[in-house]
Amino acid sequence: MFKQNLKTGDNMKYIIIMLLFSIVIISGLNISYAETIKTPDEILKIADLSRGSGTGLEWTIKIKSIEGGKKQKNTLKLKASNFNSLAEFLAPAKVKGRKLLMRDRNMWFVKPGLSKPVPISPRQKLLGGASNGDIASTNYAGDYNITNFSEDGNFNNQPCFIFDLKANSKKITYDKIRYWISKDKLIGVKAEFFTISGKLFKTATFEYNNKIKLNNESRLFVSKMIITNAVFKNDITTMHYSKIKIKKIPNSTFNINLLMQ
Amino acid sequence: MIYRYIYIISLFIVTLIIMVNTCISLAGENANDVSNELLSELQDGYEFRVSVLLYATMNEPADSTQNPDNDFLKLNDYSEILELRPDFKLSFRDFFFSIKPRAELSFEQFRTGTQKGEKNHDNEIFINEYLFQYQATDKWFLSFGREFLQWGPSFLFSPSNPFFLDNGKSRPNQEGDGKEFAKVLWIPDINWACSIIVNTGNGRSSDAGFNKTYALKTDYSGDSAYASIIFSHQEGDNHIERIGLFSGFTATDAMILYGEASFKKGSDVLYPVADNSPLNYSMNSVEQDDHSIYSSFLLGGTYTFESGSSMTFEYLYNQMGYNDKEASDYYKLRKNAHDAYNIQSPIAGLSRQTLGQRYDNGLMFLRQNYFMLQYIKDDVFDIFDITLRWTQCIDDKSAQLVSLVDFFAGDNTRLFAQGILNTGGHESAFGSILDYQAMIGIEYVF
Repeated sequence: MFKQNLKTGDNMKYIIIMLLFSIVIISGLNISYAETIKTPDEILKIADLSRGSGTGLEWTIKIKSIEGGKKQKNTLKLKASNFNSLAEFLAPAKVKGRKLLMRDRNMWFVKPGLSKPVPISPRQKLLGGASNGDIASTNYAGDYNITNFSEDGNFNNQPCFIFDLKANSKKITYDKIRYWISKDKLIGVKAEFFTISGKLFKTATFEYNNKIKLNNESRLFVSKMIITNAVFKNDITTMHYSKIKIKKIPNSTFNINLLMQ
Repeated sequence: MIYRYIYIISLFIVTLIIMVNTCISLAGENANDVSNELLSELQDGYEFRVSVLLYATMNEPADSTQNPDNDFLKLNDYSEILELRPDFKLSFRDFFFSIKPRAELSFEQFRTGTQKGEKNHDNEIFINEYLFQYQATDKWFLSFGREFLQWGPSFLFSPSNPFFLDNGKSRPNQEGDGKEFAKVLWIPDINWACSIIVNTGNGRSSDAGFNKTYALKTDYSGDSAYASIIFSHQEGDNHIERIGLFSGFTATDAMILYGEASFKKGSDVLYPVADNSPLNYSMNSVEQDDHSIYSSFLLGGTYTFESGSSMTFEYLYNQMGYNDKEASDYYKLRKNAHDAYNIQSPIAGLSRQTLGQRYDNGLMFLRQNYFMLQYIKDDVFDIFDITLRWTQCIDDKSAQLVSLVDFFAGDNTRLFAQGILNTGGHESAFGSILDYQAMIGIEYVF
């Protein structure tokens, strides 16, 4: 009986010790997890991983845009790496075969029937309301400095971090961005894009129904981006991303000598 | 008869498309697990685009001393052309292959000149361009093919290109004729590229007297600027050596600036020289043994407005072009040749030869100073693309106005119209061949 009591007492002690130990471990884990994501830079980097992160990327984008009541549909295959991208138009038939090469701020355009690539300025709009920065992969952590950070954001009833970002180079598409990152999933869910003078000119929301394997881990990946013009609210561009491949894109992809092929 | 040609040409193209597509489909059906991956790779790398064009052109030949009674150049007054232009591409692992076969059926009618009342038709099936390319490594590419090889940012003329005088920009609905090239391309990093290019054959080009040309081209592309230098050597009696350059700069989001230039040792251009011949002048390449450096350069810029429309300005200085004295002698010789054209004597033969030399004198631009202003506005009323191009010869005040309108009727059909108006009289850089030209057409793509 005494033995049994003693045993029961030992068991209780054992349970209490294990409980305390578990609490410490779990707390420790929580602390270390929180620590890894607590830095705003780290959060931004993780969110970038679900939008390409500036590494080599190949994907197909279906763009539907309404601008001034005019509807436009394009499907293009995009290869991008850092500040370089090559967009090949696949549909509709009237634009099939067109290509847009962006080498930093140098841009060339080719279409069937043209004898050679035509240099164009970054202002020339060929993708409806979408900009170069929208169709290429995202590297906000590398391209922007965080000027303000808040943990009190909310978007579509999900708690968010809010980042105020300022471009660290003139060649970045957007000068200032306010960016909402979901606290639960660590993915960017909303962005507001501002002009140099601080005027809001575009708002974008993101959906993540794609999955990719990154470092042997499955990861949510952007599947849809909806851009709304801040002034003309009916001007909306929707981009659906599919056939995503994260891979090294060779330099030759962005070489103008091979563009006419 | 005509329907037979249409039938044969259509059959050729349709058969080609069906053959290629069927081969890939059949291979898919018969594929086992092992070959599935291979097949999927082939299907991913295969692309085709077919364009069917039908266009009609009306010409008003200039009544000039270059083309007496339109008997020398025999320019038709009306023509209708049906073209089938399929493009096939296959990219498979380290290999790339493309081919652009063409079928063309043409009708022409003469209402003026010595051929007045004549109606002709012709048909042709040919391969305008093809390319075999092997990617030896990530950085090395070897290729051989027939290409209309163009580069540089300019519209008016590409002086940096030693292979083609015409860059095809003035004829947007017509294709340039390909020539044969062997190329080795080395891309050491993202900013640099270097290529060795050998023009091994004249291909479909009608340029007279083919000589092999060798070129070494080095390209640089930085953050906001790019530049290329091309050294070339042409075999033949003249051994033409030249340096070509082009460069561009994205000055602002809306503005790009660019330039092209060439420096050539000696000149193979034909110049009018006074002599004791029956026509008092002859066309001679008098500068042939001259080792002076002759230059051409072009400066340009494009500004894009907020609306998306753009304005381009280009200035061309063409040192080998005729100065006022040479131009005056040139027109005198042409007048003499014109007057002797129909005389029943050996002079008439000389006259024809002289007019031929005058027409093909080695100059893309007859005079020395030109400027071009071009306005492009896309999506006018959501369906029109408009291009207006004004080219002015500063030396003799003649000009050319080109207008192009594209109308998109749905996703597959484009209607187009093109007008060319030359001003300045019949003894001027632009007025010697055509007074005006009008073209309308339709293109269906799939």
